[in-house]
Amino acid sequence: MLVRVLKFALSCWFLMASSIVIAQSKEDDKNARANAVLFFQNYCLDCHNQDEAMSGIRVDHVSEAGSFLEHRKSWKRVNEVLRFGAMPPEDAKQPSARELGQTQSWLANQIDSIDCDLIGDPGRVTIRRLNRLEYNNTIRDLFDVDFNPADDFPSDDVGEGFDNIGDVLSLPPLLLEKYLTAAEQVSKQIVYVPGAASSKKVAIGKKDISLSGGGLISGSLISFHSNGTVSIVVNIETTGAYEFSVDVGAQQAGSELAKMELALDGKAIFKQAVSAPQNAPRKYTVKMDLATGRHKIELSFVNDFYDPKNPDPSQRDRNIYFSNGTLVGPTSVSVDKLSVFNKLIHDSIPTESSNVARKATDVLNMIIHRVFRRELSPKDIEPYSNLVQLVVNQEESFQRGIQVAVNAILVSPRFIFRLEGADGASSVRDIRQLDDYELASRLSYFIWCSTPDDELLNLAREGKLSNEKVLQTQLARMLSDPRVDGLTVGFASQWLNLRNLAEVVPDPNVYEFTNELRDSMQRETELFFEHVLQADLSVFDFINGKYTFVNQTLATHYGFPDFQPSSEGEQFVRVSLEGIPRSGILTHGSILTLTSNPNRTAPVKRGKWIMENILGVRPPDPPADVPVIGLAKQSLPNSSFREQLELHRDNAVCASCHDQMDPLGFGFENFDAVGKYRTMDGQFPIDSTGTLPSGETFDGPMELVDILTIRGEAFARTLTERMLVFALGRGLDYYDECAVDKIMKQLKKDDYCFQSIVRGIVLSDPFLKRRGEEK
Amino acid sequence: MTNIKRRTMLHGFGLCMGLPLLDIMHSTSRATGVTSNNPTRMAFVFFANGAIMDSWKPKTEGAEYELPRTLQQLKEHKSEINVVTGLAQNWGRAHGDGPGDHARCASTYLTGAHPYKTSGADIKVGVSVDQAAANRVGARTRIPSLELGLRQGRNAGNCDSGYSCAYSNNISWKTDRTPMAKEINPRLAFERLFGDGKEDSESQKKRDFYKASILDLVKQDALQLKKQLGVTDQRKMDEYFQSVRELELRVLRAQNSANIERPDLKLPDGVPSDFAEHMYLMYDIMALAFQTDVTRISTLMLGNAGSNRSYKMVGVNEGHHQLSHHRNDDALMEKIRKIDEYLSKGFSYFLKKLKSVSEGEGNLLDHSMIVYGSGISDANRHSHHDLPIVVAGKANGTIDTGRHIDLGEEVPLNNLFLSMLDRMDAGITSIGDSSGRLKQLRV
Repeated sequence: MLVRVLKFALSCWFLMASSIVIAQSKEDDKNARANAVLFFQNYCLDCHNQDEAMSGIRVDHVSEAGSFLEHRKSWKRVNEVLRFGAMPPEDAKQPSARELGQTQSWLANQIDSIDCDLIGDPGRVTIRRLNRLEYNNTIRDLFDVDFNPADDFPSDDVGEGFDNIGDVLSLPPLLLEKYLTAAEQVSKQIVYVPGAASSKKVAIGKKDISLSGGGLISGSLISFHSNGTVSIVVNIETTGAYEFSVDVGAQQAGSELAKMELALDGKAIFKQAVSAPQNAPRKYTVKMDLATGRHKIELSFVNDFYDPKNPDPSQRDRNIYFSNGTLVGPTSVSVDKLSVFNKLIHDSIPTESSNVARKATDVLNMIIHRVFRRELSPKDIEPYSNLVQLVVNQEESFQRGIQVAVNAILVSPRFIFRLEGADGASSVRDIRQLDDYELASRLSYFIWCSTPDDELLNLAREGKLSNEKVLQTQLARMLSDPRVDGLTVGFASQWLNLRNLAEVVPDPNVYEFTNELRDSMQRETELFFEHVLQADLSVFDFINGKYTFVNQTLATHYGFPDFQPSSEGEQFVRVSLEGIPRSGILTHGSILTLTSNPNRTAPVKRGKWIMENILGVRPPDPPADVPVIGLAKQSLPNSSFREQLELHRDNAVCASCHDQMDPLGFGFENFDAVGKYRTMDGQFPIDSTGTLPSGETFDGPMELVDILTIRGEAFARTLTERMLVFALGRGLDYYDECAVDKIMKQLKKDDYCFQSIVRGIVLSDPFLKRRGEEK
Repeated sequence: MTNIKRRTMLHGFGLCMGLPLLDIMHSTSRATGVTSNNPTRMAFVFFANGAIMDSWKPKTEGAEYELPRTLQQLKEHKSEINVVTGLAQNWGRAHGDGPGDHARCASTYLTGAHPYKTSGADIKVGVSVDQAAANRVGARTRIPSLELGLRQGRNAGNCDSGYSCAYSNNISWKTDRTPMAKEINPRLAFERLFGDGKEDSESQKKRDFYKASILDLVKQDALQLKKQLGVTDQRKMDEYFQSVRELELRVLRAQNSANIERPDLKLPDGVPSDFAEHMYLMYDIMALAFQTDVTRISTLMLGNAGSNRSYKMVGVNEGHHQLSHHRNDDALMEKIRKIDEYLSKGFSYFLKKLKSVSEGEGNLLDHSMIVYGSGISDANRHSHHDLPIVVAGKANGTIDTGRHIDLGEEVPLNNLFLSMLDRMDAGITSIGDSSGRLKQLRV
């Protein structure tokens, strides 16, 4: 069966003159082909031949069989350039509109004609090392510890728009060093070695600290100018004795010294009059027994004194200052308080030295298959157990030995890489189903950006996971699990370029912009994505959903007067956008800001963003030596920004693309460079009307959104393609279009509900299968 | 200027440290015949988006030249630097690959090779000059080379016209396929060189011993796994294997070499949000690494290729890259000149720092060769010839400084690099597109 992949909307969108006729007769086919070959000879061959190949493009093999498969990428570029009319260059012989239209549609057809029955190639994924997000999530889910060692890793390079592309993820020595350091940190956390050396700082993060009363946090210093309490919530993993210490200084006034109190879980256990001055604080250490779980440590200033009229300025105000609060421990732990893993270690401590390796194997067996994401043979575990022996031989404890073995496990290639095909698959023609373990990893790193959990691994061990029904059930379970935020942080934030928001610095002379606003913007879009995904709504909601999620910061920024915050303060609330000129992600502050320049909107950037992400078209890159707006301003000082920008469309070469991009961007001119709604730009009223090359006209962003919604299928396809890239960790090739096609067909049947795409990807050949490779 | 002075005083770690005098530190440069007790160091500093060349290129040649506006910032070092003009990175040009000059700017800067245009599969460019040196002589120091930067790589979307971000974010390439990721956190960079100071040497030794055992174990594991993989996957496993090998050597060297005293440097916990503080700290760390001879080879990226950061401290609120397409509009060019000056001022701080460290008969700068420049000259036209390049330091008396060396239009930048590799005793006869040596480094 010959499937013609029809890029809906695109052809009619960009070249109204050409309508693709699907059922051409053979005779017509022949003629069209001859005409096209002639076209390339007449207009292109001079510069794009075997010898010259300008811009790396050749057309001399147009009539060769297989040219469109072999040089597919190159032909796609040709197709784009023709579609935009960006070639031939102005100073060359020009084809008629009819010739151009005919050739372009013939070419589009050639590219899109793929015989899926014949091809059946699932592609091949290069083994991927964990990226930073995956590493952090994996450590979190393996060991239930809450810290992010990968934050210190060098950034992962991006390819195909994502940072999980196997070919691009490299492993320089610096990174391996970081793996070692991270492994040491992790093993210290999870393996308890008796003795003071094992006690460690309990992490206290910003979010663990809260204030009540007259306190003020600046950096690591907390100052109290009137009575108040700072509460620190700590999460204790191992029951035992701990020491809390804090530097305290005071400014004295009145008849008594400043007094502090320390309470543990609501009970005061330490009171102290503080004589040390603010600039030379004294360290106080308090011992406490803490059981596994959360505890609250409260530091209070209890005897404020304030006499502003005192003639002696040094006698007016009594204050207290806390800094460097640290909790260290456990200094000793009783056996019955150990975690399950540590209990096993304790119970396995060998009595005879000859037993060490065997006992170590018992212990490592508990974690190693989870870390390596598959079952291991005893032979594979042996070297790690021997490592424990080596440490014990150095007259160190068995526990320390396990620690070192865990270090090794965490830098092993079996952990760092998601290995596939380590089973000897050999030739290019070898196509096989993934084994169940490989599938478990693909699934968990796609949906969670994290390691497969026990349920997935158990199903894999039983060989059940590849059963389609089981797979579907698991996918549904995973999508409703909180870990699905991995897909938001991993996929959505890159698909929509949200991560670039961190780099945007709006000009402070023009816009008020705080980091809180930035974070809120990002969160809004993330929540929107998660909502559409988890509630399984139509993907068209991304374009025209009449609701969004805002907190007080955003509501104020957007000017929503009726916003009712939830009882919990800065929490986000879902709000309806009925009657408000906003809908979908295109009117999110995040997208509007990251497609702007620091000091003004950039309609071209917005237009380009919409083309790439909503319409799925990558416009050709601009030539070097392009002008910026500034110059135009000098020549047209009394014109609006839009009038100035229109100037560049006088140039035919520029116009070929900008006629497509600019109207899209101008449609959103009602939103300034930080996403605020406006009707005026300085002295000029905003003109957000426009006409698309296809002839449709609109007045304002909401009418443009309606037009874009009509082209929703193109958006759905783009989303599907992007998500498939992310799921596979490789760029797509021609053979993947069969899979995308299939997913699209089902998506239509499923009323464009988001989970249909996710399900479609998981059940697709590229996801479930793997092609071999020469060794 | 005040900023620098303040910091110079803050970080006066200066002269208090003795170097462990090892045999390998007595080097005789084969290429130059000059004997010196002091090892020669090399560093490469990269800035993004080129420079405004009319304020960079001196009007006359030779020793009697006048420093143009941007380089006035290096005035106090005029006798210790050469301004070299007329160098080109030919492979930064499109050569049929279309747009993407910024990605090519960074990836060709130190390699002189043409990056393969890809957004994913088959990343390939060439070995960079610093890594060529590190591969040959890096084993003489505890760490073969040090790669630093000020910005994480961009981590979403497209970096430049269909090029993977690996090309924009790295100037140092260990092999033609493996970029050397850079450290951007000053504290982590420092601790990597000098430890975190929390461990006594006894437990450090034990830890190193375990480290070596772990590395040996995972190396065997990697070899085992590699046999079962296809060629592309094998390449990834090789990368892993190479990194393990390098770390093994490092642990070995640490075990066998004298302890290096941990210098005193005040460091913030995270990455400083203030650009100036960040930049100066990285220069401090490079200087310390050279001073203690932990490494002799280093690179620093002041920005990723095509960086669009703003420089508010000099009144430039617009993005650097956005501005660099200035279309010869003087108001815009003026803003870029301010950026150029600002970054040159930072480089001047580094040179001053090196100069403040006495070593043997002279100072650290005398024994170094530091390249400061970019892979693009005029960013408005994306030109890859007549690059902005300053070479500072006398490289142990093998470079005659104090001159403007004008080479004309199109001498490969890699000729300079090849000449520098000679001075490192690397024993390399060509690198990238080098066509010979740069004899002009000597009068």
